[in-house]
Amino acid sequence: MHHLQAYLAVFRVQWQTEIEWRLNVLTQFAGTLLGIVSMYYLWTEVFSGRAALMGYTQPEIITYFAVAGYLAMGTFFYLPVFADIRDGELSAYLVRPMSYLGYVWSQTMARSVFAFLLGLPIMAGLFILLRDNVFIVSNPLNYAVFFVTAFGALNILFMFNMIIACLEFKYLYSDMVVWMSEMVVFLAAGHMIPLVFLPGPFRVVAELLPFKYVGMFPVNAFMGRLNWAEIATGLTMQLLWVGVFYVLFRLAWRWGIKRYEAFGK
Amino acid sequence: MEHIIKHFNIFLASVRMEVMDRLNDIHIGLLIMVTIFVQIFLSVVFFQALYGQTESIAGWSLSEAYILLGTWHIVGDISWALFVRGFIRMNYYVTSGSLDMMLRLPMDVRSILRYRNIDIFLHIPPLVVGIMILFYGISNSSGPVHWPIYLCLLLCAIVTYYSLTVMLSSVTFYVPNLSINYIRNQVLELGQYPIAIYKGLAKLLLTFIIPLGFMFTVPARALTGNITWIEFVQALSVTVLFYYVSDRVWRRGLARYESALG
Repeated sequence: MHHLQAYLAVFRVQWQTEIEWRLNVLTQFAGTLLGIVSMYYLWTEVFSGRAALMGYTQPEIITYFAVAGYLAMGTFFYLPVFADIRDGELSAYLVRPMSYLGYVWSQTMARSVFAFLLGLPIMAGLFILLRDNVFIVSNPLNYAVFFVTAFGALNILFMFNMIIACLEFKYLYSDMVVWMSEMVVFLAAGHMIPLVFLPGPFRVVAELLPFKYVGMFPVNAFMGRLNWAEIATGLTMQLLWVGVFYVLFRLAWRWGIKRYEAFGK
Repeated sequence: MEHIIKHFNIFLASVRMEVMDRLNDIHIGLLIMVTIFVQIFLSVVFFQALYGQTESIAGWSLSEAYILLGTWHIVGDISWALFVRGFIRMNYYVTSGSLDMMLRLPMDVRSILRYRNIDIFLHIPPLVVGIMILFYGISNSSGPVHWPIYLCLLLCAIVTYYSLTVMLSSVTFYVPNLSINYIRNQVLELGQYPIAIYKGLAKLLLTFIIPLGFMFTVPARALTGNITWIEFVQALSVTVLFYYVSDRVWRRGLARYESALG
């Protein structure tokens, strides 16, 4: 119980930080909106009057990109772990009576909840603006499903980035790997384009990777393209991948801590 | 003449220092380079996926889209190599007070930002890939190729890219803690698609307010044989106008700077 209060305090502090830096989050949303608008125009040209492509109608594909953009804003975060290891700041956290993983997770959760809440009226405005060209999801259950699956997506990405962060124990400035992996994850998750549109070999590889559960799965579940059995399977797979990544992270962390020299502090 | 020689010497010295700096942390440099390659590769995959569904987008075939994509990468890589890195650090320079030191140097701050953060070493390999995409597009395109016009428009595009970067960096003088790099990147991303896909207000906005059409689509059209003299003259005019406006915006912003160190 005492520990829980500590993590809640971390959440609250990060929440305050997000409020203070709200203009930056808003400009990021503005950037995401630009991306959605460009996808709207691009796909209008690609459809050019056709009723459906690969099982998506034009309003569905516009909704897909809008929801995927919103999801990305609430799940893709740069973690402070790299800088903490590089500058030796990690030492201060290691001696505290709380888990460093839990500390960063609480921060990430605050950032995610803030982004999702801030984005909600923006997305609502976008959907009202494009109401004749988007697919409106009317079932309230789908909205609940979206946030549950988005939580799973956030945790997969968080654990994945924590594993990459352990590289910093060996190679300085390895956060570059995150930039690179984010681009690949963006494609493999279906944020860039729904996986069914990818050319053959890329689609096969993307289907094998866990990243479809951080993009395509939550979006399709929200849009009602999956039945309850598929949603249950997807949620189980999300849980499984979080577990796999957690085990890998523990191994990588143990290896890293042995190498850690608290350089800089 | 003396002025040009001075700048050229500083440019060479900056390149030397940048190469030494990059070689010092070669693994980071290689990682950045691989990241840029991955970005180029993914954009090609994206276009392949799009054109898997249709023969043409807004009248642009796949090979013509590659010419546009190649142009977009070439302009972007040259700009990153020469000046972008310094301007995207403006937040840091303003909030930390580092700009104070730059203001004391006997040179325009913009020149210092350009030279001090030159990034040629990393951007030459991706530039070559951008050129390869361009030539791949040309080899599969049937229109007449106007190289002199293309090169002239490419130069205009780089100058306009610079003007946009300077203008957006000037926002830092008004809102020092606001990071506009993400939105800057997102805006420029729009340029990799033909401007003809945008309609109404969006098209107007991306042609004259943020002139992505003149920066990327118009040069690419010089290689697909669809350019008109009016567009060429418009592109030149937009370049001059944006350079002038960016200079005014920068000077106004700099006049507001109050120094973080007090």
